[in-house]
Amino acid sequence: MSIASSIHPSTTVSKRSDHSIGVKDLSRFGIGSRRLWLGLTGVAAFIAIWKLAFLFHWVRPGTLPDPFAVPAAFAGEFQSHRLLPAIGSSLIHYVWGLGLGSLAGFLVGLAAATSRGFDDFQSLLARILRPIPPLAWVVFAIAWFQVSHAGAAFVIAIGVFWVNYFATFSGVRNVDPRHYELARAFHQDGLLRRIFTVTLPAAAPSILAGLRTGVGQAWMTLIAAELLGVPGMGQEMNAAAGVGAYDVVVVYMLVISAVYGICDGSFSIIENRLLRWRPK
Amino acid sequence: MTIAVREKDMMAKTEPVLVAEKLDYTFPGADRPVFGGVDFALAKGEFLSLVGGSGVGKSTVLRCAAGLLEPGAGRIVLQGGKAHSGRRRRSIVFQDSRLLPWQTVEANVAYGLHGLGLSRQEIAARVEDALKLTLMVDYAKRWPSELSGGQQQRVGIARALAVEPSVLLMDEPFSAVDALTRGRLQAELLNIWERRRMAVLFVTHDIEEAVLLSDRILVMGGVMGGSQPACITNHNPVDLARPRSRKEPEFFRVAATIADQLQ
Ligand SMILES: Nc1ncnc2c1ncn2[C@@H]1O[C@H](COP(=O)(O)OP(=O)(O)O)[C@@H](O)[C@H]1O
Ligand SMILES: [Mg+2]
Repeated sequence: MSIASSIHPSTTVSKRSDHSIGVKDLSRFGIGSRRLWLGLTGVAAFIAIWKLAFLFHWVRPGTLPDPFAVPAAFAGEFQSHRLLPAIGSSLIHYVWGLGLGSLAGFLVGLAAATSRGFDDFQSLLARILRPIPPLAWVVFAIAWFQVSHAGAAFVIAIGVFWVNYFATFSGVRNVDPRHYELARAFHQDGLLRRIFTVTLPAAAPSILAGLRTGVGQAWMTLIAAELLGVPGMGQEMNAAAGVGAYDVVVVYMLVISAVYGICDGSFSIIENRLLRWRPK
Repeated sequence: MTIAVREKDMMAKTEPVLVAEKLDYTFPGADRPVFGGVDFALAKGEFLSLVGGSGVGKSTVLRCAAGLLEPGAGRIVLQGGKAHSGRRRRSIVFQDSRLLPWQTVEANVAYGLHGLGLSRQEIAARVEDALKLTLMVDYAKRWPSELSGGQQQRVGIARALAVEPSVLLMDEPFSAVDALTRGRLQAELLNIWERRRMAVLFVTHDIEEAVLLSDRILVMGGVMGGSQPACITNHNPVDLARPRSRKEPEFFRVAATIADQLQ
Protein backbone atom coordinates (compact mmCIF):
# COMPACT_ATOMS: atom_id res chain seq x y z
CA MET A 1 0.00 0.00 0.00
CA SER A 2 1.20 3.48 -0.76
CA ILE A 3 1.67 6.27 1.68
CA ALA A 4 -0.95 8.41 0.06
CA SER A 5 -3.86 6.37 1.27
CA SER A 6 -2.47 5.97 4.75
CA ILE A 7 -1.76 9.58 5.57
CA HIS A 8 -5.15 10.84 6.33
CA PRO A 9 -7.95 8.36 6.78
CA SER A 10 -10.47 11.14 7.28
CA THR A 11 -10.02 12.32 3.70
CA THR A 12 -11.37 9.08 2.34
CA VAL A 13 -13.83 10.16 -0.27
CA SER A 14 -17.22 8.73 0.39
CA LYS A 15 -20.43 8.70 -1.54
CA ARG A 16 -22.83 11.38 -0.47
CA SER A 17 -25.11 10.34 2.33
CA ASP A 18 -28.57 11.52 3.26
CA HIS A 19 -27.73 15.07 4.24
CA SER A 20 -27.12 16.25 0.70
CA ILE A 21 -30.06 16.37 -1.60
CA GLY A 22 -29.10 14.76 -4.88
CA VAL A 23 -31.21 14.97 -7.98
CA LYS A 24 -32.59 11.49 -7.58
CA ASP A 25 -33.76 12.29 -4.07
CA LEU A 26 -35.95 15.09 -5.35
CA SER A 27 -38.47 12.63 -6.71
CA ARG A 28 -39.00 11.44 -3.17
CA PHE A 29 -40.24 14.89 -2.29
CA GLY A 30 -43.47 14.50 -4.19
CA ILE A 31 -46.40 16.36 -2.67
CA GLY A 32 -48.16 14.32 -0.04
CA SER A 33 -45.17 12.18 0.74
CA ARG A 34 -44.44 11.62 4.38
CA ARG A 35 -40.89 12.72 3.81
CA LEU A 36 -41.91 16.10 2.46
CA TRP A 37 -44.31 16.86 5.29
CA LEU A 38 -41.96 15.70 7.98
CA GLY A 39 -39.18 17.66 6.34
CA LEU A 40 -41.21 20.86 6.33
CA THR A 41 -42.19 20.19 9.95
CA GLY A 42 -38.51 19.91 10.83
CA VAL A 43 -37.78 23.27 9.24
CA ALA A 44 -40.81 24.83 10.95
CA ALA A 45 -39.70 23.44 14.32
CA PHE A 46 -36.26 24.94 13.82
CA ILE A 47 -37.72 28.35 12.98
CA ALA A 48 -40.06 28.10 15.98
CA ILE A 49 -37.19 27.41 18.36
CA TRP A 50 -35.24 30.24 16.79
CA LYS A 51 -38.21 32.59 17.25
CA LEU A 52 -38.54 31.51 20.89
CA ALA A 53 -34.85 32.11 21.43
CA PHE A 54 -35.33 35.57 19.93
CA LEU A 55 -38.43 36.37 22.03
CA PHE A 56 -37.10 35.10 25.33
CA HIS A 57 -33.53 36.35 24.92
CA TRP A 58 -31.80 32.97 25.17
CA VAL A 59 -28.69 34.69 23.88
CA ARG A 60 -27.42 38.22 24.40
CA PRO A 61 -30.07 40.62 23.01
CA GLY A 62 -29.18 42.09 19.65
CA THR A 63 -27.04 39.12 18.55
CA LEU A 64 -29.88 36.99 17.21
CA PRO A 65 -32.15 38.34 14.46
CA ASP A 66 -35.87 37.73 14.27
CA PRO A 67 -36.33 34.86 11.78
CA PHE A 68 -39.30 36.71 10.28
CA ALA A 69 -37.10 39.72 9.60
CA VAL A 70 -34.85 37.70 7.32
CA PRO A 71 -36.96 38.00 4.13
CA ALA A 72 -36.97 41.79 4.47
CA ALA A 73 -33.23 41.78 5.05
CA PHE A 74 -32.86 39.65 1.93
CA ALA A 75 -34.89 42.13 -0.10
CA GLY A 76 -32.82 44.98 1.30
CA GLU A 77 -29.53 43.36 0.35
CA PHE A 78 -30.85 42.57 -3.09
CA GLN A 79 -32.19 46.07 -3.73
CA SER A 80 -29.06 47.79 -2.48
CA HIS A 81 -27.10 45.87 -5.15
CA ARG A 82 -24.84 44.17 -2.70
CA LEU A 83 -26.11 40.57 -2.86
CA LEU A 84 -25.54 39.69 -6.52
CA PRO A 85 -22.10 41.34 -6.78
CA ALA A 86 -21.08 39.50 -3.62
CA ILE A 87 -22.24 36.18 -5.07
CA GLY A 88 -20.52 37.00 -8.36
CA SER A 89 -17.29 37.89 -6.62
CA SER A 90 -17.35 34.73 -4.52
CA LEU A 91 -18.01 32.65 -7.61
CA ILE A 92 -14.96 34.08 -9.36
CA HIS A 93 -12.46 32.79 -6.85
CA TYR A 94 -14.60 29.72 -6.22
CA VAL A 95 -14.50 28.66 -9.87
CA TRP A 96 -10.82 29.45 -10.31
CA GLY A 97 -9.76 27.81 -7.06
CA LEU A 98 -11.95 24.77 -7.60
CA GLY A 99 -10.98 24.39 -11.24
CA LEU A 100 -7.23 24.72 -10.83
CA GLY A 101 -7.08 22.77 -7.57
CA SER A 102 -9.16 19.91 -8.97
CA LEU A 103 -7.16 19.78 -12.18
CA ALA A 104 -3.83 19.77 -10.36
CA GLY A 105 -5.01 17.17 -7.82
CA PHE A 106 -6.32 14.97 -10.60
CA LEU A 107 -3.11 15.19 -12.66
CA VAL A 108 -0.77 14.60 -9.75
CA GLY A 109 -2.94 11.75 -8.43
CA LEU A 110 -3.05 10.17 -11.89
CA ALA A 111 0.70 10.45 -12.34
CA ALA A 112 1.42 9.08 -8.86
CA ALA A 113 -0.92 6.16 -9.38
CA THR A 114 0.46 5.23 -12.79
CA SER A 115 4.16 5.84 -12.35
CA ARG A 116 5.96 3.98 -9.60
CA GLY A 117 8.90 6.36 -9.87
CA PHE A 118 6.78 9.47 -9.57
CA ASP A 119 4.91 7.92 -6.64
CA ASP A 120 8.17 7.34 -4.80
CA PHE A 121 9.25 10.86 -5.64
CA GLN A 122 6.12 12.56 -4.30
CA SER A 123 4.84 10.40 -1.48
CA LEU A 124 7.10 11.74 1.28
CA LEU A 125 6.42 15.29 0.19
CA ALA A 126 2.69 14.59 0.23
CA ARG A 127 3.00 13.15 3.70
CA ILE A 128 4.64 16.38 4.90
CA LEU A 129 2.34 18.86 3.17
CA ARG A 130 -0.98 17.08 3.48
CA PRO A 131 -1.66 17.76 7.19
CA ILE A 132 -1.33 21.54 6.75
CA PRO A 133 -4.89 22.94 6.75
CA PRO A 134 -5.69 25.05 3.69
CA LEU A 135 -6.40 28.07 5.88
CA ALA A 136 -2.88 27.98 7.24
CA TRP A 137 -1.83 29.06 3.75
CA VAL A 138 -3.80 32.29 4.07
CA VAL A 139 -0.69 33.98 5.41
CA PHE A 140 1.16 33.28 2.19
CA ALA A 141 -1.87 33.94 0.07
CA ILE A 142 -1.96 37.48 1.43
CA ALA A 143 1.82 37.88 1.22
CA TRP A 144 1.96 36.78 -2.40
CA PHE A 145 -1.34 37.85 -3.86
CA GLN A 146 -2.44 40.57 -1.42
CA VAL A 147 -6.13 40.56 -0.63
CA SER A 148 -7.37 39.46 -4.04
CA HIS A 149 -9.31 36.89 -6.00
CA ALA A 150 -6.05 35.11 -6.70
CA GLY A 151 -5.27 34.81 -2.99
CA ALA A 152 -8.66 33.35 -2.16
CA ALA A 153 -8.49 31.04 -5.17
CA PHE A 154 -5.08 29.87 -4.04
CA VAL A 155 -6.33 28.88 -0.60
CA ILE A 156 -9.36 27.10 -2.07
CA ALA A 157 -7.19 25.32 -4.61
CA ILE A 158 -4.98 23.87 -1.91
CA GLY A 159 -7.93 22.28 -0.16
CA VAL A 160 -9.49 20.74 -3.25
CA PHE A 161 -6.11 19.68 -4.55
CA TRP A 162 -5.75 17.11 -1.77
CA VAL A 163 -9.27 15.80 -2.04
CA ASN A 164 -8.87 15.20 -5.77
CA TYR A 165 -5.37 13.89 -5.45
CA PHE A 166 -6.44 11.13 -3.07
CA ALA A 167 -9.62 10.29 -4.93
CA THR A 168 -7.84 10.00 -8.28
CA PHE A 169 -4.93 8.10 -6.79
CA SER A 170 -7.07 5.47 -5.12
CA GLY A 171 -9.45 5.22 -8.09
CA VAL A 172 -6.63 4.62 -10.54
CA ARG A 173 -4.75 2.26 -8.26
CA ASN A 174 -7.87 0.15 -7.82
CA VAL A 175 -8.57 -0.40 -11.52
CA ASP A 176 -9.13 -4.11 -12.08
CA PRO A 177 -5.92 -5.40 -13.72
CA ARG A 178 -8.03 -7.74 -15.85
CA HIS A 179 -9.17 -4.71 -17.81
CA TYR A 180 -5.56 -3.94 -18.65
CA GLU A 181 -5.06 -7.53 -19.75
CA LEU A 182 -8.06 -7.14 -22.01
CA ALA A 183 -6.56 -3.99 -23.52
CA ARG A 184 -3.37 -5.93 -24.22
CA ALA A 185 -5.20 -8.91 -25.67
CA PHE A 186 -6.98 -6.65 -28.15
CA HIS A 187 -3.93 -4.50 -28.87
CA GLN A 188 -5.48 -1.37 -27.39
CA ASP A 189 -2.65 -0.83 -24.94
CA GLY A 190 -1.02 2.29 -26.34
CA LEU A 191 -0.63 4.77 -23.48
CA LEU A 192 -3.40 7.18 -24.45
CA ARG A 193 -5.81 4.52 -25.66
CA ARG A 194 -5.32 2.60 -22.43
CA ILE A 195 -5.83 5.70 -20.30
CA PHE A 196 -8.98 6.74 -22.14
CA THR A 197 -10.63 3.35 -22.60
CA VAL A 198 -9.69 1.72 -19.31
CA THR A 199 -7.99 3.84 -16.64
CA LEU A 200 -10.19 6.92 -16.63
CA PRO A 201 -13.59 5.23 -17.06
CA ALA A 202 -12.75 2.61 -14.46
CA ALA A 203 -11.57 5.24 -11.99
CA ALA A 204 -14.39 7.65 -12.85
CA PRO A 205 -16.64 6.82 -9.89
CA SER A 206 -13.84 7.64 -7.48
CA ILE A 207 -12.61 10.67 -9.43
CA LEU A 208 -16.11 12.13 -9.64
CA ALA A 209 -16.76 11.51 -5.95
CA GLY A 210 -13.54 13.45 -5.28
CA LEU A 211 -14.59 16.32 -7.51
CA ARG A 212 -17.95 16.48 -5.81
CA THR A 213 -16.43 16.47 -2.35
CA GLY A 214 -14.19 19.30 -3.58
CA VAL A 215 -17.23 21.28 -4.75
CA GLY A 216 -18.45 21.27 -1.14
CA GLN A 217 -15.12 21.69 0.52
CA ALA A 218 -14.25 24.69 -1.64
CA TRP A 219 -17.31 26.52 -0.29
CA MET A 220 -16.21 25.95 3.28
CA THR A 221 -12.71 27.23 2.59
CA LEU A 222 -13.99 30.08 0.48
CA ILE A 223 -16.12 31.68 3.16
CA ALA A 224 -13.34 31.34 5.71
CA ALA A 225 -10.84 32.90 3.28
CA GLU A 226 -13.20 35.78 2.55
CA LEU A 227 -13.61 36.62 6.23
CA LEU A 228 -10.10 37.99 5.85
CA GLY A 229 -11.34 40.64 3.47
CA VAL A 230 -11.43 39.28 -0.09
CA PRO A 231 -14.65 40.65 -1.59
CA GLY A 232 -17.52 38.20 -1.63
CA MET A 233 -20.22 36.77 0.56
CA GLY A 234 -17.89 36.02 3.45
CA GLN A 235 -16.71 39.60 3.52
CA GLU A 236 -20.26 40.99 3.32
CA MET A 237 -21.15 38.74 6.22
CA ASN A 238 -18.23 40.01 8.22
CA ALA A 239 -19.08 43.62 7.43
CA ALA A 240 -22.71 43.09 8.43
CA ALA A 241 -21.67 41.46 11.70
CA GLY A 242 -19.41 44.43 12.40
CA VAL A 243 -22.41 46.77 12.45
CA GLY A 244 -24.63 44.31 14.30
CA ALA A 245 -26.82 43.50 11.26
CA TYR A 246 -27.23 39.86 12.18
CA ASP A 247 -30.28 39.46 9.95
CA VAL A 248 -27.99 40.22 6.98
CA VAL A 249 -25.51 37.67 8.27
CA VAL A 250 -28.29 35.09 8.20
CA VAL A 251 -29.23 36.15 4.67
CA TYR A 252 -25.71 35.36 3.49
CA MET A 253 -25.64 32.10 5.39
CA LEU A 254 -28.79 30.98 3.63
CA VAL A 255 -27.55 32.18 0.25
CA ILE A 256 -24.35 30.20 0.75
CA SER A 257 -26.45 27.15 1.46
CA ALA A 258 -28.58 27.75 -1.63
CA VAL A 259 -25.64 28.31 -3.97
CA TYR A 260 -23.97 25.18 -2.63
CA GLY A 261 -27.19 23.25 -3.19
CA ILE A 262 -27.31 24.40 -6.80
CA CYS A 263 -23.64 23.53 -7.42
CA ASP A 264 -23.94 20.13 -5.81
CA GLY A 265 -27.21 19.35 -7.55
CA SER A 266 -25.79 20.29 -10.95
CA PHE A 267 -22.75 18.19 -10.29
CA SER A 268 -24.84 15.21 -9.34
CA ILE A 269 -26.69 15.47 -12.67
CA ILE A 270 -23.37 15.42 -14.51
CA GLU A 271 -22.13 12.56 -12.36
CA ASN A 272 -25.20 10.44 -12.98
CA ARG A 273 -24.95 11.08 -16.67
CA LEU A 274 -21.29 10.08 -16.85
CA LEU A 275 -21.84 6.98 -14.73
CA ARG A 276 -25.07 5.85 -16.34
CA TRP A 277 -23.38 2.58 -17.31
CA ARG A 278 -23.33 1.48 -13.71
CA PRO A 279 -25.85 -1.18 -12.67
CA LYS A 280 -28.91 0.42 -11.14
CA MET B 1 -20.84 -32.67 -48.47
CA THR B 2 -19.05 -34.30 -51.40
CA ILE B 3 -16.01 -36.46 -50.99
CA ALA B 4 -13.86 -33.97 -52.87
CA VAL B 5 -14.69 -31.19 -50.45
CA ARG B 6 -14.06 -33.45 -47.51
CA GLU B 7 -10.60 -34.28 -48.84
CA LYS B 8 -9.76 -30.65 -49.36
CA ASP B 9 -10.91 -30.04 -45.82
CA MET B 10 -8.63 -32.76 -44.52
CA MET B 11 -5.69 -31.28 -46.33
CA ALA B 12 -6.42 -27.84 -45.03
CA LYS B 13 -6.50 -29.23 -41.55
CA THR B 14 -2.93 -30.39 -41.68
CA GLU B 15 -1.62 -26.91 -42.34
CA PRO B 16 -0.71 -25.45 -38.94
CA VAL B 17 -1.68 -21.88 -37.99
CA LEU B 18 -0.36 -21.87 -34.45
CA VAL B 19 2.41 -24.06 -33.13
CA ALA B 20 3.53 -24.32 -29.52
CA GLU B 21 7.08 -25.60 -29.22
CA LYS B 22 8.29 -26.98 -25.89
CA LEU B 23 6.57 -24.32 -23.84
CA ASP B 24 7.64 -23.87 -20.31
CA TYR B 25 6.31 -21.25 -17.91
CA THR B 26 7.25 -20.30 -14.36
CA PHE B 27 5.33 -17.61 -12.49
CA PRO B 28 7.54 -14.89 -11.06
CA GLY B 29 8.60 -15.99 -7.61
CA ALA B 30 7.52 -19.62 -8.06
CA ASP B 31 10.16 -22.30 -7.50
CA ARG B 32 9.17 -24.56 -10.37
CA PRO B 33 7.44 -24.27 -13.73
CA VAL B 34 3.66 -24.69 -13.91
CA PHE B 35 4.20 -26.81 -17.02
CA GLY B 36 7.11 -27.88 -19.17
CA GLY B 37 7.65 -29.21 -22.67
CA VAL B 38 4.17 -28.39 -23.88
CA ASP B 39 4.02 -29.15 -27.61
CA PHE B 40 1.08 -28.94 -29.92
CA ALA B 41 0.06 -27.67 -33.32
CA LEU B 42 -3.27 -26.13 -34.15
CA ALA B 43 -4.23 -26.76 -37.77
CA LYS B 44 -6.06 -24.33 -40.01
CA GLY B 45 -9.77 -24.51 -39.28
CA GLU B 46 -9.30 -27.10 -36.57
CA PHE B 47 -11.26 -27.23 -33.31
CA LEU B 48 -8.76 -28.30 -30.70
CA SER B 49 -9.58 -28.65 -27.02
CA LEU B 50 -7.26 -28.64 -24.07
CA VAL B 51 -8.75 -30.43 -21.06
CA GLY B 52 -7.31 -30.83 -17.60
CA GLY B 53 -8.09 -30.45 -13.94
CA SER B 54 -8.41 -27.14 -12.22
CA GLY B 55 -5.09 -25.40 -11.59
CA VAL B 56 -3.10 -27.60 -13.96
CA GLY B 57 -2.07 -24.62 -16.09
CA LYS B 58 -4.57 -24.55 -18.97
CA SER B 59 -5.24 -20.82 -18.75
CA THR B 60 -1.53 -20.16 -18.57
CA VAL B 61 -0.92 -22.16 -21.78
CA LEU B 62 -3.69 -20.19 -23.44
CA ARG B 63 -2.21 -16.87 -22.28
CA CYS B 64 1.12 -17.89 -23.79
CA ALA B 65 -0.66 -18.79 -27.02
CA ALA B 66 -2.37 -15.38 -26.96
CA GLY B 67 0.93 -13.58 -26.49
CA LEU B 68 -0.18 -12.26 -23.10
CA LEU B 69 2.56 -14.18 -21.29
CA GLU B 70 6.06 -14.77 -22.53
CA PRO B 71 6.98 -18.44 -22.07
CA GLY B 72 10.15 -19.05 -20.07
CA ALA B 73 11.33 -21.49 -22.70
CA GLY B 74 10.01 -22.61 -26.04
CA ARG B 75 7.97 -20.45 -28.36
CA ILE B 76 4.66 -19.84 -30.07
CA VAL B 77 4.80 -19.68 -33.85
CA LEU B 78 2.03 -18.21 -35.96
CA GLN B 79 1.88 -19.38 -39.55
CA GLY B 80 -0.09 -18.99 -42.72
CA GLY B 81 -1.42 -15.48 -42.13
CA LYS B 82 -2.80 -13.45 -44.96
CA ALA B 83 -3.63 -9.77 -45.05
CA HIS B 84 -3.18 -8.62 -41.49
CA SER B 85 -0.19 -8.83 -39.21
CA GLY B 86 0.55 -11.75 -36.89
CA ARG B 87 -0.54 -9.81 -33.85
CA ARG B 88 -4.05 -9.55 -35.17
CA ARG B 89 -4.51 -13.14 -36.16
CA ARG B 90 -5.36 -14.30 -32.68
CA SER B 91 -8.16 -13.21 -30.46
CA ILE B 92 -9.34 -14.40 -27.13
CA VAL B 93 -12.52 -15.08 -25.17
CA PHE B 94 -12.09 -15.06 -21.42
CA GLN B 95 -13.89 -17.11 -18.81
CA ASP B 96 -15.38 -13.96 -17.32
CA SER B 97 -16.83 -12.11 -20.29
CA ARG B 98 -14.58 -9.19 -19.41
CA LEU B 99 -16.68 -6.60 -21.15
CA LEU B 100 -15.86 -2.99 -20.39
CA PRO B 101 -18.87 -1.99 -18.29
CA TRP B 102 -18.61 1.66 -19.39
CA GLN B 103 -18.99 0.83 -23.06
CA THR B 104 -22.15 -0.24 -24.81
CA VAL B 105 -22.36 -3.69 -26.35
CA GLU B 106 -21.47 -2.39 -29.80
CA ALA B 107 -18.53 -0.37 -28.50
CA ASN B 108 -17.27 -3.47 -26.70
CA VAL B 109 -17.51 -5.49 -29.91
CA ALA B 110 -15.66 -2.76 -31.79
CA TYR B 111 -12.96 -2.61 -29.13
CA GLY B 112 -10.33 -4.66 -30.98
CA LEU B 113 -10.97 -2.94 -34.31
CA HIS B 114 -9.26 0.34 -33.53
CA GLY B 115 -5.86 0.75 -35.07
CA LEU B 116 -6.49 -1.73 -37.90
CA GLY B 117 -6.95 1.04 -40.43
CA LEU B 118 -10.63 0.27 -40.93
CA SER B 119 -13.09 2.97 -41.88
CA ARG B 120 -16.03 3.84 -39.67
CA GLN B 121 -18.37 1.97 -42.02
CA GLU B 122 -16.16 -1.10 -42.06
CA ILE B 123 -16.06 -1.14 -38.28
CA ALA B 124 -19.83 -0.77 -38.08
CA ALA B 125 -20.30 -3.56 -40.62
CA ARG B 126 -17.98 -5.91 -38.75
CA VAL B 127 -19.68 -5.16 -35.45
CA GLU B 128 -23.09 -5.83 -36.91
CA ASP B 129 -21.87 -9.01 -38.52
CA ALA B 130 -20.37 -10.29 -35.27
CA LEU B 131 -23.50 -9.38 -33.33
CA LYS B 132 -25.64 -11.21 -35.88
CA LEU B 133 -23.51 -14.33 -35.61
CA THR B 134 -23.88 -14.29 -31.84
CA LEU B 135 -27.60 -13.41 -31.96
CA MET B 136 -27.03 -10.16 -30.09
CA VAL B 137 -27.97 -7.51 -32.70
CA ASP B 138 -30.97 -6.38 -30.70
CA TYR B 139 -28.77 -5.56 -27.74
CA ALA B 140 -26.24 -3.34 -29.53
CA LYS B 141 -27.08 -0.21 -27.54
CA ARG B 142 -27.32 -1.86 -24.12
CA TRP B 143 -24.85 -1.63 -21.26
CA PRO B 144 -23.19 -4.91 -20.26
CA SER B 145 -24.77 -4.66 -16.81
CA GLU B 146 -28.16 -5.02 -18.47
CA LEU B 147 -27.33 -8.43 -19.93
CA SER B 148 -27.51 -11.95 -18.49
CA GLY B 149 -24.34 -13.95 -18.01
CA GLY B 150 -24.93 -15.93 -21.20
CA GLN B 151 -25.57 -12.76 -23.20
CA GLN B 152 -22.40 -11.17 -21.86
CA GLN B 153 -20.47 -14.21 -22.95
CA ARG B 154 -22.00 -13.94 -26.43
CA VAL B 155 -20.80 -10.34 -26.63
CA GLY B 156 -17.34 -11.48 -25.53
CA ILE B 157 -17.39 -13.96 -28.42
CA ALA B 158 -18.64 -11.29 -30.82
CA ARG B 159 -15.77 -9.01 -29.79
CA ALA B 160 -13.28 -11.79 -30.53
CA LEU B 161 -14.94 -12.62 -33.86
CA ALA B 162 -15.05 -9.00 -35.01
CA VAL B 163 -11.30 -8.94 -35.55
CA GLU B 164 -11.79 -11.91 -37.91
CA PRO B 165 -9.09 -14.03 -36.34
CA SER B 166 -7.65 -17.10 -37.92
CA VAL B 167 -7.08 -18.43 -34.39
CA LEU B 168 -9.74 -18.06 -31.71
CA LEU B 169 -8.54 -18.78 -28.19
CA MET B 170 -11.22 -19.59 -25.63
CA ASP B 171 -10.65 -20.04 -21.91
CA GLU B 172 -13.55 -22.00 -20.39
CA PRO B 173 -15.96 -19.56 -22.00
CA PHE B 174 -19.09 -21.37 -20.87
CA SER B 175 -18.15 -22.56 -17.40
CA ALA B 176 -19.80 -19.65 -15.61
CA VAL B 177 -23.25 -19.98 -17.22
CA ASP B 178 -26.11 -22.30 -16.30
CA ALA B 179 -26.33 -25.73 -17.93
CA LEU B 180 -29.21 -24.87 -20.23
CA THR B 181 -27.54 -21.75 -21.56
CA ARG B 182 -24.26 -23.61 -21.86
CA GLY B 183 -25.83 -26.19 -24.20
CA ARG B 184 -27.27 -23.43 -26.34
CA LEU B 185 -23.98 -21.51 -26.48
CA GLN B 186 -22.10 -24.68 -27.46
CA ALA B 187 -24.46 -25.24 -30.38
CA GLU B 188 -24.14 -21.59 -31.42
CA LEU B 189 -20.37 -21.76 -31.24
CA LEU B 190 -20.31 -24.83 -33.52
CA ASN B 191 -22.57 -23.02 -35.92
CA ILE B 192 -20.25 -19.99 -36.02
CA TRP B 193 -17.19 -22.20 -36.38
CA GLU B 194 -18.74 -24.03 -39.31
CA ARG B 195 -19.44 -20.75 -41.05
CA ARG B 196 -16.21 -18.94 -40.28
CA ARG B 197 -13.85 -21.89 -40.14
CA MET B 198 -11.28 -20.22 -37.91
CA ALA B 199 -9.07 -22.51 -35.87
CA VAL B 200 -10.20 -22.74 -32.26
CA LEU B 201 -8.11 -23.57 -29.22
CA PHE B 202 -10.67 -24.29 -26.55
CA VAL B 203 -9.75 -24.73 -22.91
CA THR B 204 -12.21 -26.57 -20.68
CA HIS B 205 -12.38 -28.85 -17.68
CA ASP B 206 -15.63 -30.34 -18.98
CA ILE B 207 -14.90 -33.59 -20.85
CA GLU B 208 -18.31 -33.84 -22.49
CA GLU B 209 -18.03 -30.30 -23.76
CA ALA B 210 -14.67 -31.13 -25.33
CA VAL B 211 -16.02 -34.31 -26.96
CA LEU B 212 -19.06 -32.49 -28.27
CA LEU B 213 -17.06 -29.70 -29.90
CA SER B 214 -13.60 -30.88 -30.85
CA ASP B 215 -11.73 -32.44 -33.75
CA ARG B 216 -8.97 -33.29 -31.34
CA ILE B 217 -8.56 -33.26 -27.57
CA LEU B 218 -5.32 -32.68 -25.71
CA VAL B 219 -5.20 -33.84 -22.13
CA MET B 220 -3.06 -31.84 -19.78
CA GLY B 221 -1.99 -33.28 -16.47
CA GLY B 222 0.52 -33.09 -13.68
CA VAL B 223 3.23 -35.70 -13.71
CA MET B 224 3.79 -37.80 -10.56
CA GLY B 225 0.65 -36.57 -8.89
CA GLY B 226 1.38 -32.92 -9.58
CA SER B 227 4.83 -32.80 -8.02
CA GLN B 228 6.35 -32.24 -11.47
CA PRO B 229 5.49 -29.53 -14.00
CA ALA B 230 2.37 -30.42 -15.99
CA CYS B 231 2.52 -31.42 -19.62
CA ILE B 232 0.33 -32.73 -22.43
CA THR B 233 -0.21 -36.38 -21.54
CA ASN B 234 -2.51 -37.51 -24.38
CA HIS B 235 -3.60 -36.56 -27.89
CA ASN B 236 -7.05 -37.83 -28.84
CA PRO B 237 -8.51 -37.44 -32.32
CA VAL B 238 -12.30 -37.39 -32.08
CA ASP B 239 -13.69 -39.26 -35.09
CA LEU B 240 -17.37 -38.85 -34.28
CA ALA B 241 -19.55 -37.57 -37.10
CA ARG B 242 -21.10 -34.13 -36.68
CA PRO B 243 -23.60 -33.11 -35.51
CA ARG B 244 -22.86 -35.08 -32.39
CA SER B 245 -25.21 -36.25 -29.72
CA ARG B 246 -24.35 -36.82 -26.10
CA LYS B 247 -26.69 -39.80 -26.12
CA GLU B 248 -24.74 -41.98 -28.54
CA PRO B 249 -22.68 -44.86 -27.13
CA GLU B 250 -19.66 -43.74 -29.16
CA PHE B 251 -19.80 -40.37 -27.47
CA PHE B 252 -19.68 -42.09 -24.09
CA ARG B 253 -16.79 -44.25 -25.19
CA VAL B 254 -14.64 -41.25 -26.16
CA ALA B 255 -15.61 -39.37 -23.00
CA ALA B 256 -14.75 -42.39 -20.84
CA THR B 257 -11.35 -42.75 -22.50
CA ILE B 258 -10.52 -39.14 -21.70
CA ALA B 259 -11.82 -39.44 -18.18
CA ASP B 260 -9.45 -42.37 -17.68
CA GLN B 261 -6.54 -40.33 -19.00
CA LEU B 262 -7.33 -37.59 -16.51
CA GLN B 263 -7.08 -39.93 -13.54
N1 LIG C 1 -0.46 -14.86 -11.21
C1 LIG C 1 -0.07 -16.05 -10.70
N2 LIG C 1 1.00 -16.11 -9.87
C2 LIG C 1 1.41 -17.28 -9.36
N3 LIG C 1 0.81 -18.45 -9.59
C3 LIG C 1 -0.26 -18.47 -10.40
C4 LIG C 1 -0.76 -17.27 -10.99
N4 LIG C 1 -1.84 -17.58 -11.75
C5 LIG C 1 -1.99 -18.90 -11.64
N5 LIG C 1 -1.06 -19.45 -10.83
C6 LIG C 1 -0.90 -20.87 -10.51
O1 LIG C 1 -0.57 -21.54 -11.69
C7 LIG C 1 -1.30 -22.75 -11.78
C8 LIG C 1 -2.01 -22.84 -13.10
O2 LIG C 1 -3.01 -21.84 -13.17
P1 LIG C 1 -4.04 -21.79 -14.37
O3 LIG C 1 -3.28 -21.74 -15.65
O4 LIG C 1 -4.97 -20.67 -14.10
O5 LIG C 1 -4.79 -23.18 -14.23
P2 LIG C 1 -6.12 -23.70 -14.93
O6 LIG C 1 -6.55 -22.71 -15.94
O7 LIG C 1 -5.75 -25.01 -15.52
O8 LIG C 1 -7.14 -23.88 -13.86
C9 LIG C 1 -2.23 -22.81 -10.59
O9 LIG C 1 -1.74 -23.74 -9.68
C10 LIG C 1 -2.21 -21.42 -10.03
O10 LIG C 1 -2.26 -21.49 -8.63
MG1 LIG D 1 -8.25 -21.48 -15.96
